[in-house]
Amino acid sequence: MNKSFKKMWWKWLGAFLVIATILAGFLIPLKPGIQSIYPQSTAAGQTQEFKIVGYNTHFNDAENNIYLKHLDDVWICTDLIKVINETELRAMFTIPSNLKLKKEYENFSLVINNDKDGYTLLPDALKIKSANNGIDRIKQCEPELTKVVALNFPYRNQLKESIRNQFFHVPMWFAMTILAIVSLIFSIKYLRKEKLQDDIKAVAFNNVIVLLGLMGLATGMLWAKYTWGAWWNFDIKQTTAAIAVMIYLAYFVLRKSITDMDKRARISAAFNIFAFVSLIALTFVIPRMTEASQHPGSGGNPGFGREDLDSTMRMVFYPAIIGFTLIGTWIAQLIGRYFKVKHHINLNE
Amino acid sequence: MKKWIVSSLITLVCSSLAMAQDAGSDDVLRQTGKLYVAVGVLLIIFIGILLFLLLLERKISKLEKLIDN
Repeated sequence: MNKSFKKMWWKWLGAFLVIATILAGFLIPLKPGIQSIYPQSTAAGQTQEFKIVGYNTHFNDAENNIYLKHLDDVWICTDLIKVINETELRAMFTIPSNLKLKKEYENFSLVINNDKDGYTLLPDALKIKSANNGIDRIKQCEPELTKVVALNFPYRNQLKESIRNQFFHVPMWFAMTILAIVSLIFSIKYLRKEKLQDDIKAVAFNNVIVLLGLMGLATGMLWAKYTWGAWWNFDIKQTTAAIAVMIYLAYFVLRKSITDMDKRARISAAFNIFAFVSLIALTFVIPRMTEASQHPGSGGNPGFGREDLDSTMRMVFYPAIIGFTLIGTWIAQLIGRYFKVKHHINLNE
Repeated sequence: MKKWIVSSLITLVCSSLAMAQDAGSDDVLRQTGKLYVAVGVLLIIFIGILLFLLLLERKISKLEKLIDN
């Protein structure tokens, strides 16, 4: 093993992980899912034809079984299925006239079982009006649910393919936080030993933190436009993250305003500690205390429940965080080396 | 030579920004299940790193001039 490889290996690892993230993040398909059903309401005793649109489904390729279900109490099965193409079909249901539900209207989920794709479920797909009297437990047929093991990402109606941004937008913030910890350590080290090289390293990492923060904001805005409807939604996490990035920008303004080298290093190191504490408070604490955020993980929930991030996504997501962190460290190292050279030139003049 | 590199980089960044704006129309990005939202996000990250490289390039050029003088 030569010397340059020993020095470079983590850079190669970072590059490899980011490239692998891009490839896996774009090539692994989405699970088959249900996009829409029309009409979205019916009543007990009625026979109704529904138009159902799927995503990534193979309605033509294999046999389909379609059910309407309410909890595990009511299972209604199709009379007739007309497949139009791979992603569209018509399903005829006869709702039993003796279906007495607890409320006047109850939500029913739509379940489609396909022998090739396995089963997929659209929760609260439609409302059914209850009959005046009857029974509340009906099982028209024994549901057939095929489980298929395949490598794919979860299908979410609101997100669709943009769920892949989980591997690019979110790691920006994770890498930023990890590098903020590194920068904090160098600032504390500077305050304890007053070696200028620690100050240079903290500045270098803060450069990358601002870069990652700005890219996180920009990518988040694009994603928000196509899932929440506007570039800027004044979502609590959007706002607090923007403030956190501005605090790190203020670090550089502060440095520009002080000409004395040691004074600048000391004051900015102290400011960096404040910036880190506010970053944690603004992005981890405050958004969790409010219910209003559209980001996952608000209102006291853990950020990544099993529904938001399944095991296939974790397999790509965690390497993505490591990859972007290593690339960020690489960039920080380049800037640090630049500042080191600049410092020496200034000393010699 | 240096100026040529900088200007070609600026052209590249501007053209990709223009492309990103072209893709900004709803039709393209909402087609194929919002796949182009993810492509756009990747493009933003790439442009961000590129702009950063450009800044670093300028800073290093200034240093080189200092040494030459």
